[in-house]
Amino acid sequence: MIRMNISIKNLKDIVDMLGTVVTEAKFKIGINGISVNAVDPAHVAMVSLEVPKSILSEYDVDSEEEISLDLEKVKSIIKLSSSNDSLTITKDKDKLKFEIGTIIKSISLLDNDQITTPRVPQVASDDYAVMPKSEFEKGLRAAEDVSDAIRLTLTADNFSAKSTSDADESEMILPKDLLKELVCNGAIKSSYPLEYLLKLVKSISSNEDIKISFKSDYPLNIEFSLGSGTSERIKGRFLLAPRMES
Amino acid sequence: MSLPDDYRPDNIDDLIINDETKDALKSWINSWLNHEETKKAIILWGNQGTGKTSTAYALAKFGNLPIIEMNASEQRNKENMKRIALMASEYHDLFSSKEPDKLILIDEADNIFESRNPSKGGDSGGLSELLDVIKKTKNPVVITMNDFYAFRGKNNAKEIIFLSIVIDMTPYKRKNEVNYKSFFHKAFDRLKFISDEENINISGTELNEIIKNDEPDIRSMINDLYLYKTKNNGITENSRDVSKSIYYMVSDTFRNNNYDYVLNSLHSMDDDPNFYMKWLDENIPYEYSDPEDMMRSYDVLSKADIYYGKRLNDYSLVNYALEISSGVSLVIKNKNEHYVKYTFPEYVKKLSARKNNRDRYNLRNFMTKLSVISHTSLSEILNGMWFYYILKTKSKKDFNYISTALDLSDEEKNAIKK
Repeated sequence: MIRMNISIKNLKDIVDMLGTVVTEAKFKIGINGISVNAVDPAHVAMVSLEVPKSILSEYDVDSEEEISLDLEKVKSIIKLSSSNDSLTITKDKDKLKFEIGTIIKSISLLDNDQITTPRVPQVASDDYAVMPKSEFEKGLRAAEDVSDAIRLTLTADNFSAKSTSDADESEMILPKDLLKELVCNGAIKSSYPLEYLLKLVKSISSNEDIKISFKSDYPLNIEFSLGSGTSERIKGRFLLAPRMES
Repeated sequence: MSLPDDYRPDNIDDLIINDETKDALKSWINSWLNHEETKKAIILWGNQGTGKTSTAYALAKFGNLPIIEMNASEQRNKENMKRIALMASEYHDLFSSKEPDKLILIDEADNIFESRNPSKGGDSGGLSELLDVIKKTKNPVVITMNDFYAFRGKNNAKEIIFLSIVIDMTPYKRKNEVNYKSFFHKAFDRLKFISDEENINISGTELNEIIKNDEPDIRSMINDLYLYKTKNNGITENSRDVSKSIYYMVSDTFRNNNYDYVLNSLHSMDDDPNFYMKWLDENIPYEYSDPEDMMRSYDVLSKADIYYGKRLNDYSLVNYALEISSGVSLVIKNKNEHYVKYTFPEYVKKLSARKNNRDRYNLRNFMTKLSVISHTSLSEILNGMWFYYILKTKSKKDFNYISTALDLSDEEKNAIKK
């Protein structure tokens, strides 16, 4: 059986983050928490989330189980509630029952076989930068009307994000002292799709820090935290494939 | 998964396609793998079941590339095209890191959503985005479609075609060419293989029957094979309703001894029964060499024609015409085993060739209709044509009454002249 109580803030953060890449997702409901991986149809972007049991005020799961959901339906339930509510979720055969105050809504589960869960590729880099999400977002916004792609560069002194088109150019340079952490053993640069990065930063709260790591022509790995919680948080990873340079 | 999906061949060599097509496919995918591609996309077109999608999958297997597919079940407007195909064409795949690292499949491109709704922003849709994908792509793109000629007329299609290799997947053009033989053998071997794998008990003649029934649609053949697996009775009761071209209908009528089968396929015929009878009429002399056979078959046809003629009294009589004419083969002693190229009925050809003749044909139709209803001979009506002409020009009301009573077509009305 599955029964849990989750705050609207946490549920909304999870659904919004998954919504950046997919419309349907398969959740693994484990004994110690929930995990979910989702990849976009073009295999360019991947979201991977770990929700620890401790952030849920109630969590009652007998054995590990997978459930697949239409995210749009969950969003419509979130819209029914105010942000400091919490809701109780129970699984009833092939339905998932949501109880928010006086409202009870059931949505049908999707067929688990119809939704493929990607394996998470092995992506690791020694070079990284930790920065406030708001700083990173500024650079993305500046590039928004310039190009579809953004080139990230990391050196021992700074982190920069640059976009160029035939006509326009946009660049953001974050020197070392504006970064929380910087580890770089030699300059690296690589281009990534701007649209997905913008969607990603929109789904992260503005006072969060993010950790960005990559290599030249190598997938980008962004680590972040979601939701509310004091000791433990929802841990997230966002992977983005590099642009093919010719 | 359905049986045809289970048995999609993994290998280009296992595809039931022409050797020239195979060579063209291999050299195209190899050009990508060797980084010397000149055409970024390939267009595979042909009827359903000719192996377009299977070919795309086999190409991906050949290059050991994952497939990013946009099929017809998704809405393929500009946004989705950009989000999926364009992303896939310009960015690496998270799960592989070669170059090229994936194959992009745009399935059934003839149904791509090309909206011209300005309220939704912009006036261009999926095809302009597809063109953009082909221009920018760093990965091979496979586009499949049924109707190449209809596609060619769409916006942006010319440029898409210019940037692509176009391959006609039709396995053979005519039945008497060498490609047909090779197609038949390959299809037979494939069906035999599948029936062995699936423990389907089916004889060689039954396999032949399936192939002849469905050719060139291999997907349908495998689906029909599946019917043998699920039910044990014969195919005639299970077979799907597929309308056949009149050409094969004529061939079946002359050669197939299974009367029920022939009649069943006639019932799903799209053509006019008279047109079918004209085809038989034209081709009996080519098909049968024995004069007695010829005589007997024309006898059958003429009886059918009597019922066809009586359709003006009661249209359901047309069914008798069909049922009689489809039995032509039953009266034949010496069946023709050789290939015969059936020809289009001269009568109809000449009718359409000269408008003058068409008028005469329409006039005759009018006279026949009138003679049936008024019990008057044709020559009598011909003598009174001046009257009907005056009626037509001077008294609209009376003429309308007659034309509704006789159910005259516009052409028939126009044929009434001075």
